[in-house]
Amino acid sequence: MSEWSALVTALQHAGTPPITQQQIQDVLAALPGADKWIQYPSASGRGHGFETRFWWEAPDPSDAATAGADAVERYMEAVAAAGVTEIEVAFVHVTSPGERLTEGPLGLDRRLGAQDAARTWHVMQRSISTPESRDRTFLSEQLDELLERLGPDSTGHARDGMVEVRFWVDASDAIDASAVGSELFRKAMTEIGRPDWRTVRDQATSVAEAARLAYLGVERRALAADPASLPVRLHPALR
Amino acid sequence: MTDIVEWGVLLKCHAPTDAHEPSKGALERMVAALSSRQGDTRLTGGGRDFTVWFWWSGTDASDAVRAGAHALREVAAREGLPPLHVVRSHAASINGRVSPFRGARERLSAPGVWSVSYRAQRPRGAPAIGATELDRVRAALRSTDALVTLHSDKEKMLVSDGSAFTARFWVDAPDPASALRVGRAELLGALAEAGLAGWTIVRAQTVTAAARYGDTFPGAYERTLRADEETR
Repeated sequence: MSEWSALVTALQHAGTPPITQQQIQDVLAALPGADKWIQYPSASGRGHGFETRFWWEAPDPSDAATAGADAVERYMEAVAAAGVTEIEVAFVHVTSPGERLTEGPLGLDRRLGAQDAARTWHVMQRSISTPESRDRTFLSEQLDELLERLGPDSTGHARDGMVEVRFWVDASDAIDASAVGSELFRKAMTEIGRPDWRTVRDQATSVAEAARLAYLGVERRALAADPASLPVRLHPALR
Repeated sequence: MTDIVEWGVLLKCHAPTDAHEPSKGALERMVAALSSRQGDTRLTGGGRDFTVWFWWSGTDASDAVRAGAHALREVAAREGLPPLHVVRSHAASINGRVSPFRGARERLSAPGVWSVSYRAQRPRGAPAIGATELDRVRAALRSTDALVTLHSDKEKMLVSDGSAFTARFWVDAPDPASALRVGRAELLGALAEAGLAGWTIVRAQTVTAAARYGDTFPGAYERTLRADEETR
């Protein structure tokens, strides 16, 4: 058996009354497994709807597509049992815990309850080599050096011509976090010998906002796996 | 010297509870003011929590976030909005904004059409793949607008280690579970035809055409078409 993280976004038909807290609790109760929750209204802004995150234990051998099809059928049974009708499932996304870690912040739970949570921001930076770049290679040793410089709970993945990292910074808002994060990242890239790469994606999220988009238990499940099998490289302290 | 280019910038804002709540009119005027500068904006949410999608120029994504936020705050102040707290920022290039949504607009009115996306990973010990194998997978997929890339997402110019790839295409199905199964069968067939049997699907996604189109950054299609036109 293997567990898959599932995200289902359901959109309510126009004119439908808001779903109630009791219905949310009933949907969650009808779904299997631990670490499940509903974000209502949808955090992604996908229309008038709600997002359900849960873990689906699929029989082996399986893959994300089969697991996803089974999971969405089980989800439809759960919402029907809770009396939630007049909805349309618009989005289903299923991954292994390791794959999910390519998006999710490590160490979120710890930071969520911390005193300085309001000043804690999660940053993502993606950089690519340019025609002017002297070197477009990116070795795993360089990624380790980069993560060391970006601090605890940083993660990343790289290929020749591209690197993407996620890490935490202390800042006052998302714009400040982007500035602090991009400066730290650029300095680290220069130090590891990749000064002339270009940042093509920049993202900053508050702890509270990250929690709205999070998958409960992803860290525990991903770290239980063989680190070598993960699609992201972890900060050396986590290996 | 680094070129200044356009970036799709998204800022999720919160108006503090000790300040007045922004009116719908003020928010719309703020977004219209941004639109008059670079075009193609979108406002989602409202009241104290809203997200503004717009295009801004910069030397890189981080520069566009900084400059775009400055412009947003300037027009917000002009419209009498309280100081805004930005809780999420995101900037990406045009390539990053448009490529996964190919064909969505054309399918908006067609019922029972789903976009499916799968990430496939090579089995242990199997050789890395390259553009030739991807071309074979793409050719074996029946869907028009199929996109097969060696990376998980959007920046086109990347090179991969050949250990995984993502395939996005369109399928006809009555519901999302069927869409995932129909797409899986089609992908497995294409993999076998391309000599890649045994690869594992580690990520699967399905979205209606409307939701896919709704996720597209405003104006991304048109900007890509315009850029294509200019380079022709």
